[in-house]
Amino acid sequence: MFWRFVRKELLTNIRTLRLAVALVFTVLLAVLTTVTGSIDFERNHAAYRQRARRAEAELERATVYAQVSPVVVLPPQPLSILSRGVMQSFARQYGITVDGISIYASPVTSNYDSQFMKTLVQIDFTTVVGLLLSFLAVVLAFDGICGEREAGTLKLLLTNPVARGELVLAKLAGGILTLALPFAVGLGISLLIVLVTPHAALSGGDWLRVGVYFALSVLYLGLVYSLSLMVSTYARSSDTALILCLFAWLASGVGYLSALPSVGRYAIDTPPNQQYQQRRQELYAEHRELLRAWDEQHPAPQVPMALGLPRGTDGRGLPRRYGTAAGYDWLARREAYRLGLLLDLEPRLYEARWAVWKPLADQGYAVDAWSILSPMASYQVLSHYLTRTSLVDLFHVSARGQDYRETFVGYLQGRGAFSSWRWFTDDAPGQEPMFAAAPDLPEGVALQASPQWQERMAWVEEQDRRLAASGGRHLDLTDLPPPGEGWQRTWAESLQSMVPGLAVLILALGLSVLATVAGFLRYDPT
Amino acid sequence: MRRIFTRQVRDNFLSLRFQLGLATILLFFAVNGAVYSWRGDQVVEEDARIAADAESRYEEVEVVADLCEARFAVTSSPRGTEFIAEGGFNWYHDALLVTAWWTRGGGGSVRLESLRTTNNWMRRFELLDWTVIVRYVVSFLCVVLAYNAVSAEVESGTLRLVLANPVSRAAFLGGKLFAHLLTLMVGLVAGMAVSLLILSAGEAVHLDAAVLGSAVLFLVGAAVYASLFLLVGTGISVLARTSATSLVFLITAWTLLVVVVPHTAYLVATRTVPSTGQTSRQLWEREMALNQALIREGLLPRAPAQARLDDYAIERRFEARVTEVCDEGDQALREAYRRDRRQYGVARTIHLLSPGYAFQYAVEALLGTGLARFERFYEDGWRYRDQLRAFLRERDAADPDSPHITTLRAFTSQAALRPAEIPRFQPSEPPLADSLAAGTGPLAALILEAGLALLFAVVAFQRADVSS
Repeated sequence: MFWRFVRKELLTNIRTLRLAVALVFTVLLAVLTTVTGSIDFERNHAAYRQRARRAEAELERATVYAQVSPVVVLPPQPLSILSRGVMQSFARQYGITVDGISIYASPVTSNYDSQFMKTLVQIDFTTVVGLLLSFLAVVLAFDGICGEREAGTLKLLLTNPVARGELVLAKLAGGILTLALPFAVGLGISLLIVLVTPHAALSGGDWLRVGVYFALSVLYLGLVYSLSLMVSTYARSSDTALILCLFAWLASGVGYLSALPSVGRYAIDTPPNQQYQQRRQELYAEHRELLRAWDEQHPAPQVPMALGLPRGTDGRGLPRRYGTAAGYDWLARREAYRLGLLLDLEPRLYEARWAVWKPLADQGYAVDAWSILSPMASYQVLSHYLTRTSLVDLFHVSARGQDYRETFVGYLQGRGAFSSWRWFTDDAPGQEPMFAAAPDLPEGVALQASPQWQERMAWVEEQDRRLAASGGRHLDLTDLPPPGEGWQRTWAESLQSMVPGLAVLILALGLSVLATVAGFLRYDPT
Repeated sequence: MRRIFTRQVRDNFLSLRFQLGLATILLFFAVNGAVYSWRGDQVVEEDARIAADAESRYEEVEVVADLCEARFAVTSSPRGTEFIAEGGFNWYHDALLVTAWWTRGGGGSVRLESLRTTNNWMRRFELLDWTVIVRYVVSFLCVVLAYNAVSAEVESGTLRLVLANPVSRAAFLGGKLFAHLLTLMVGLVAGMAVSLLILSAGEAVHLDAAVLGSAVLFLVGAAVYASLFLLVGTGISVLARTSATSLVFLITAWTLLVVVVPHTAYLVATRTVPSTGQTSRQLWEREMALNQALIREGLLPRAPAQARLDDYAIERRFEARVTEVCDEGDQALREAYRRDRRQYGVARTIHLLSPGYAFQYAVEALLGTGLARFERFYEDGWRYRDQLRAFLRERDAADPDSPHITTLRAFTSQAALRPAEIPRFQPSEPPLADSLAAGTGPLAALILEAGLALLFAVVAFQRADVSS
C-alpha cells in the first residue's frame, strides 16, 4: 500500500510541466558546466605534464648538488570537474629545497593567471544542482499538503485505510525519487563527459566518491523537500507556504553563501605581512652576522677567481668552474657552515611565515565550518571534501611535502653533499684553474680590462665547449628517494572530514520528517 | 493606470512577500554595514602602515646616487565607496614598486605588487557590497514579486474583469510594473539607509555629498536593473499557464542570467586571448644571460678612481648594454600588461550579456572606481618613473664632479639630497566626462537589455489570450 502511494506521487510529479522544464535545464546546465570544466581540466592537465617533464629534466640536468631541488607535481583531480572548491582543477606543485619550506602547494598554471582573471568566478555542476534542483524541490513540495487540502483531494486521500504517518512518508519518498530523476540524468551526462575527457581517469576510489556524491546530493535534495513539506503542513495557505519557502531558500542558500565569506574574512584578524618581513629581516641579519664572523676568522684565498667562475644562468650562477683547490676548500667549508645555519634558521622563518598565513587559512576553515548551518553551503563544502578540492586537501599536500623534505635533506646529508666540492662545482678532479696565481698587471689596469683576462676567457670558452660536447658531468641521483604515496587523501580521510556535515544534514532531515508527521497527524483536511 | 498602480502598491505593502522581502533586504544591508565597518578599520590600519613604510624608503635617501637603486612604493588608496562597489579593490594589485632605473632580478622599473593582505583561498567568493546585494537579492525579490503578476490574476479570473474596463493592456502592465518598482525601491532605500547608518556609526565612512551622490546614482542604476527583472518576470508570468511553472521558468532564467552567463567568461577569455606566459621569468633569464655576456666581454664596472683614467670608457659601454636590455624588458612588461588587459576585456564583454554585471560595471564607472581607475593608476606609475629619472638626471647634471653615468650608483653625483626634495607620486584625477564616457558601454548594455525585457513583456501581454 505504501509503495502504491509512492508510485502515485512519483507519477503525478513526473507529468507536470515544472519537472520537464527543470529536467531540460538541468541537462543543459550540466552539459555547459561539465564541458567548460572538462576543457579547463584538459588545459590544466597539459600544464601538469609540461611541469612534470620540466621537473624531471631539471633533475637530470643537475650537475651540482645545489641545483638539485625536486618538485613534486600532482595531477589535477578528475572529479574537480564536478565540484571546483579551493584547489579548483589546477595541478599542484610542491618544491623541495634545502633552504626553504613552502607553506602550501602552489597551482601549476600553463599561463600566468593575471590579477584580472582572479576576479572571475567559475561555476561547477554542484552549484547548478544546489541552486536549480533545490529550487525544484521547493516548488514540488510547497503545496504538498496545503495544496491538496485546497484542491479538495486531501479528504479523498485520507479515506484510504492508511495511517497518516505513512501517507506523509509516502509523499516524502515520492518527492525524493522525483528529484533524484533529473539529478541522476544530469550526473550521468556529466560523468559521461568526464569519461570522454582524454586524461580524466577515474580510479576505484574515485568511483566510490561518485557514489557517495550521489547519496549526498539525494540527501540534500531530500532535506530541502522535507523542509518545504514541513512548511506546507504548518502554513495557512499554499501562497503563504510558497512565500515562506522561497525566502527560506534565499536566506539559507544564496544569501548565506554571499554573507558568510564576507563575515568570515573580516571577523578573523590577519596580522600584517610587515610582521613577517620584519622578523625575516631580523633573522637574516642574525644569519649574516654569524657568517661575517666566520668570514673574519677564515679569510678567503686572495687569488683572483679562486672560487671559480659562475657558469650557470640561474640567479646563483651555479655551477662554478675553474677555481683553485684552496679556493674550493674554503668555499666548501663556508657552504657547510652556511647550510648548517640555514637548516636551523628555516624552521624559525617558517614559523614567522605561518603566523601570517595561518589566519588566512583559518578564514577558509571558518567558512567551511560555519557552512553547516545552511543546507546549500554545507552541500557544497561536503562535495569539496569528496572531490578532494578543499582547503584541508591543500594543506595535506604541504604536510606530506614537509615530511618528504626531511627525507630529502637526510639523503643529501647521507651523501655528504653539504660539505663537498660537488655542492657548487662540477669540475673534474685535477681541472686546471682559470688563474693559479695573481697575474702581472700594468699599473692602474683592472683585471677585466687586461689582455690576460681576454686570453683566459677564451680558454674558459674552449673548456666549456669541450665539456658540453662530452655531455657534461651529471650527478647520479638514481638512489634519490621517490616522493612515494600519500600525497592525496584517501576516501576514508575524506569521509572523516565529512562526518559533522553529514550528521547535521541527516539530523535535520530526521527532525523535519518528524515535525511534518507530527503536524499532519493533527491536520484538519477541510 | 493610476488606480491599478495604487491598488497594487497597497496590496504589495500589505503582503507577506513584501514584509519578508523588506526583512531580507534590511538584513543583507545590515550585514554589509557590519562587514565594511570591520573592514574599514583594517584597511585604515594597513594603509597607515604601508604609508609609513613607503615614507621610510624616501627617508633612506641621503645622496643623489641613492636614487639610482632606491625602490619606492606607490599605492592606490581606497575611494571610500568600496561598500557600494568594490571596483577591484580587493583583487587588483594595489601598489607599484617604482625605481628610476631597474631592479636586479627581472623586476622591471615599474612592478605591480599587492601590499595589502589578500586571501587567495577566498577567491571564489564575492564580497558583499551593494552591487552584489542588488545583483542577487534584489533580482530574486523581483522574481518573487512578479512571477505571478499576471498568472495569479488569470488563475483567479480577475484579469478578464479588469480588462473589461476601459483600461488598455499597456496601462495595466505599466501600473503593475511601477507599483512593484516602487515597492522594491522603498525596500532598497530603507536598506541603504540602514547600511549607511551602521557605517557612519562605525566611522568607516563620512556622509558627505560625494557618498550621498554615489548612493543616488546607485539607486538609479538599481531601478533600471530591477525593472528589467520585473519585466522579464511579468512576461514569463503571462506566457506560463500556472504560477508554479512561471516560477520555475523564472528561476531558471535568473540562474542563467545572473549565475551562469558570467561564469563562462573565464574560459572564453582564456581561449580567445592566450595568456602572457611567464614574463617575469623570461626577463630574469634575459638578465642572467646579459650578466654572463658582460663577464665574458670584461664589461664590469671598476673602481671610480681607476675608471677616471680612461674617462669611464668601460662603464659607458656597460651602461649602453644594460640600458638596451632593460628598456626591452620594460617594453615586454608593458606589452604583457596590455595583453592581460585585452584578455580581461573579452571576459568583461561577455559579462555584459548578464544584466547583473552590466549594472555593476555601470555603477563602477559612475563612481569612478573599477578598471578605469586601475588603468589610470598604472599609467601614472610609469609617468612617475619618468619623473624620477628626469629628477635624477637633473640633479646629477647640476654636480660638476660626477661622471654622469646615472645607471651606476658609484658613478652618479654624491651630492647630498634631502628626502623632502624628491618628487612624490601624484595620482591623476580624471575629468568627470571621462568617467561618464567609460560608463556608457555598460550603461548602454543595461538599458538595451531592459528595453528588450520591456519589448518581451509588452508583446507577450498584448498577444496573450485571456479568455480561457
